[in-house]
Amino acid sequence: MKKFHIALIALFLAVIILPAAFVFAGEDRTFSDNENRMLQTAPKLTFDSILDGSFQNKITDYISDQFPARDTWTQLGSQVKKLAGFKDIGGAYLGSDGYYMEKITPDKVDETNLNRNIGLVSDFVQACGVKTTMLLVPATGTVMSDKLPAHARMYDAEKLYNTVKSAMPDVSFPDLYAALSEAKTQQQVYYRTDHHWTWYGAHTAYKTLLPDGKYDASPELFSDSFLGTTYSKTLDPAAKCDDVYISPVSDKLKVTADGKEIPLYDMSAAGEKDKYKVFLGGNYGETTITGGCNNGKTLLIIKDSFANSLVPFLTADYENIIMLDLRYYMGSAQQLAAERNVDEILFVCEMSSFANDKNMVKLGF
Amino acid sequence: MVFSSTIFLCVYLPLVLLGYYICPKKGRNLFLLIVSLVFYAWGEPKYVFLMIFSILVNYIFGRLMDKHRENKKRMKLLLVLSVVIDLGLLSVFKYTDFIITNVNAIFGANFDLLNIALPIGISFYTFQAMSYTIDVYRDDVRVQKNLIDFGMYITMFPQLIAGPIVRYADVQDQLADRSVTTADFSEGIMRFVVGLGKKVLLANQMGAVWSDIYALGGDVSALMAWTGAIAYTFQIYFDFSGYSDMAIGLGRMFGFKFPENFRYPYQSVSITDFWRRWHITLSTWFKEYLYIPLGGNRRGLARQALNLLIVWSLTGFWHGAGWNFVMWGLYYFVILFIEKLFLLKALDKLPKFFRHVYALLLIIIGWVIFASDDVSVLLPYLGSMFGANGAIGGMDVYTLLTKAVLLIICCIASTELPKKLFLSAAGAMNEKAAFTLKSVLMIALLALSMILLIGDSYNPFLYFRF
Repeated sequence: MKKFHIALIALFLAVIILPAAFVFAGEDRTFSDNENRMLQTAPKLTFDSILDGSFQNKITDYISDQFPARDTWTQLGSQVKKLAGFKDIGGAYLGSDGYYMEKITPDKVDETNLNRNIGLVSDFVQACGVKTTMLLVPATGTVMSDKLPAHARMYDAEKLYNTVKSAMPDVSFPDLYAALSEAKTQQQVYYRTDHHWTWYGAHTAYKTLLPDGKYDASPELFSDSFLGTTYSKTLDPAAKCDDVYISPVSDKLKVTADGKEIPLYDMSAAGEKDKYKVFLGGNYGETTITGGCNNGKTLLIIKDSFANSLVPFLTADYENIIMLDLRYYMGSAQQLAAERNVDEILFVCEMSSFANDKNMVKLGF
Repeated sequence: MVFSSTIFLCVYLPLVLLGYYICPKKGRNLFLLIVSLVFYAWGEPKYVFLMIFSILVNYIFGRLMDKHRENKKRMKLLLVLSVVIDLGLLSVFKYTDFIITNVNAIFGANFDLLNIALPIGISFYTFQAMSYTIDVYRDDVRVQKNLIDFGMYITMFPQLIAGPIVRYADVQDQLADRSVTTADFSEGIMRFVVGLGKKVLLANQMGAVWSDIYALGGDVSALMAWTGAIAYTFQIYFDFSGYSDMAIGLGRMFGFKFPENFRYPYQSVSITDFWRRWHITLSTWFKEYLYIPLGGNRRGLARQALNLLIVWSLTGFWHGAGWNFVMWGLYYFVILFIEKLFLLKALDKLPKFFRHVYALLLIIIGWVIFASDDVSVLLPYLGSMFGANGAIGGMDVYTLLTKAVLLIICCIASTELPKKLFLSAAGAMNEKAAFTLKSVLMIALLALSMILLIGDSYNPFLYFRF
């Protein structure tokens, strides 16, 4: 019997010791594609870092970040949860037809903050005194509610749209919820594995915004192997890749991001995990795009990342486009609008992030 | 450090086990004392000195009382002093801000909060230390002259943070001399793995359900409110009993036999029964060191009622510096007293099924009180449970359906059924086959726990949202 006890003890010790042995012996990974964040690498041991507890925190993160085959464990974890009947994992609904949709329940819309943002935007619009349009983008799960798991809920996009619209009578509000709900019967308007809209979704928004818009080129396939952010939350091995299409644009375009010239399409994203980064290569505080046409019109866009795949169309209708991402932009938007003789202002923002955004306060600077 | 973390499981525990068994027998208590201080200092580098102070105080008072054993008066004075210091430290570090808040509220005063962070485990180790000094006074235990052994008893990392509350009397012999057989060790492993599974697979998942529902602020459908309350009922049991299992299992690996802390409390047939099965070491402590010294039930019904009131207010308050805990204690005082008066006899005549329903309903409502750290949510939440916001609505059906499997597993796992099933299966096998079966189950449970432990540390950067 003693042999049996020893066998169990040995097995137990092996299971708990081997992973840590691999962590300390192996080479550190520095970045996790799936989580889009830096991983903790081996921390330095100093007296001060022990005393203030930072060493303890770092080595704790180190072991869990560098755990051998970490993504495989996470995938297994998702499988266990799926088997146990979970219909949302890591904040993403497991929808039908391979849709992984951000779970944004009605209570996740911060009404107090929403009202504050409405006030901030109204003041900003009044101060600028130019034609303003707001594109409130409904999240995937609202438009694609037929793909949600049974009894699952999302925030009420129509209600939220009407609340914001009726509070800002001077601003025009193209109804994207209606437009996308209509368009989805024709083609896929959102990625299945990412929270953004597809080429067709963005194009639908463009046509709703500018029914007579001048952009008319056909899309080109950029990648057929996109597994985006909502997939990453679940790491469900059953996921099917999305296609990413891009819109051909004039080669006279000049794009500057935070003072540096960049291409409109970052083709290197094909080799990266986040293929949506093909659009401008990511988010910047201030991006300017000029030379798409010759009409002298200037458009200011206050935006989140949904705008990145919409803006290529707009280059056919505005010679100068300035995009501000308030998460990273530190200057005064009002001053900028006055200095650059902005003709029109466009807000592009997913509805719940508009409601919960804490950066709108910068519009008052 | 918490047991359910990779740093504990994969680094600390293997190193400590290795060190302990390399160490000659004489040095093992010192080794355990040092690694326990490291364990404690891991998250609380400063409060380790508070614990060391507490150890010294109780050690010295123990020695002094022993020295003055002939002088009853002096002994009593020494005991009172040590208890005042112990409870004084506990009050200062645990209850100061609560007292200030309430003084401000009652007298309209405006004292600043001190924002003292609660030293982890202080409620547990203070009670352990007091069990020693009080028992020295009563001459129920031998005085401990070895400071290392005494310090090790207080700091012992397996039960330092969340119990069980091991009375000095329970382990005084093991402190001086203990041995571990391979059978003890493998039994310890199994017990530890069961606790880890309870914590990671059940408590954490149920906790997520409860915190989502509680965050809605109390105005939810009856179905949602009950789902949340039941989820919390399971969370607290599997969390707490899982931790006790891990502590008992770890203790076994080092040759200790800690007292049991839970005996299937959700199988109770009355609230009196429940409190014989829930957090047994705490109830025992209050009974031994407060209820009985107050006179217990030997001084008439009125005095018994008063004694119970004192014990249950303090039991509630011990759990945390908040009115919800006091209310929870008083809630049990009322029920227990009514049961003592007549209800227990009446219940005995009912079929067992109804007695289970009765006890569980009261337990679940009790947990809602306990969990409502924001007391303003408590009444709306209880109202919701009884239909103030309609029977169904919102995400309730979704929550219930997607967590149904887990809830059923929790129901089964909180009863004796799994153990009985295993024993009846093992009964048909020889000893080796039964042990092999159990080992395979345990390693599978360990693997599953590690999958969720690592999978849930998965922590996507929010920046990705845009």
